[in-house]
Amino acid sequence: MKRCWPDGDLRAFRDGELPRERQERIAGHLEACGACGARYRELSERAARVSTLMAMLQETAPTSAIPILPARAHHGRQWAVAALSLAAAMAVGFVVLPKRDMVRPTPVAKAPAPVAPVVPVAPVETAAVPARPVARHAATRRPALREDFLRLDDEPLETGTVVRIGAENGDVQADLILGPDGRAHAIRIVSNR
Amino acid sequence: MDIVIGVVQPAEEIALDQVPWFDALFHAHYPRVVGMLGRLMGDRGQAEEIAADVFCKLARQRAERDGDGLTAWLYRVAINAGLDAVRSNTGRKWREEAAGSGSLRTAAPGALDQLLQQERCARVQDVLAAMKPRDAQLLLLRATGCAYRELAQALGIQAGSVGTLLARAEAEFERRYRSRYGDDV
Repeated sequence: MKRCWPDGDLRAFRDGELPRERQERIAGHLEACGACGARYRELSERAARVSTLMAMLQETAPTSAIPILPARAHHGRQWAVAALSLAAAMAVGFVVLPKRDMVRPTPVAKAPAPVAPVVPVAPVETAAVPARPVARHAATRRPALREDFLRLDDEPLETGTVVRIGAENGDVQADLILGPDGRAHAIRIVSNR
Repeated sequence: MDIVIGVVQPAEEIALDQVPWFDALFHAHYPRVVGMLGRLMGDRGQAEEIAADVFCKLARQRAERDGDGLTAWLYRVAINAGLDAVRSNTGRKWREEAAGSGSLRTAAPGALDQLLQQERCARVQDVLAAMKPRDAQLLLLRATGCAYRELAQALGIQAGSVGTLLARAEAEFERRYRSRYGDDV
């Protein structure tokens, strides 16, 4: 009979952690050696009992992954998403803000008919593009006051961060109020001219 | 409403851009360290706290250690911190009180089973806390599914020694468990 195997090898054999050649040799030996067979059964049964007890500790959620660290390779994509979000917010601001400014001018209110202010508003809603110069001039003339912010939604906003964004040529800039959720809740158009 | 995501004291800041080795170690071992500590303590939040603390210490160990020595150091410090937390026993007392009051008061279906499960869990934690840190670490990591090669790296030993040490750790665990709680293994 060949030499008997130590407990460590028998334990590793149970877990299949030995090289294939040694696994086969131990398997052959266990069939022939009663003492090693008994030791192997004892080790194996104990390992199963301990494993069952250790499984009691599985009450916590399994560790699925590392808390995501911002990978450098994704920075460009994240900035692209942020830029697109800001561009969309600016677009909403450009479409919505002219309506407000066109209603405000007093010359219209001086018209003889009291219903006159309603009349010029209608073409602005249907044709927003011609109204843009009006909005730009209005923003340059008036000081940038807190009241100039235009709400983009109806959600209550207690605190926020003001972020200034601008077009590539720098002609038009806007201030966005970002809430704790990172979304833009208000906007105002400013100009550096 | 202000949401504080995290606070880092200036003295604790680590210039991670300057330590790429830390990035590699963190990604390779953080899940396993948290898994090991989470099993040991039964509290994932506390496990993550300890793991973060250990990794902060790790960032300052680079000058003195390297390679596998650093990995073994990481796991050794983590298991020692986890065992200290278990030995302080506050977590277990809290769980026992919660189990004794909350579960039974609500009398939800399976409350008794849950109570028994928590008691068995507390027993295993007590036995692990009484063992040598290396043996407890070996059993915990093996329970998380680590292969022998990974166990050897974490313990800083030869892969050929893992079977022997594992068999000894299991025998020691069972002996301590039986001496405390009888033959109810």
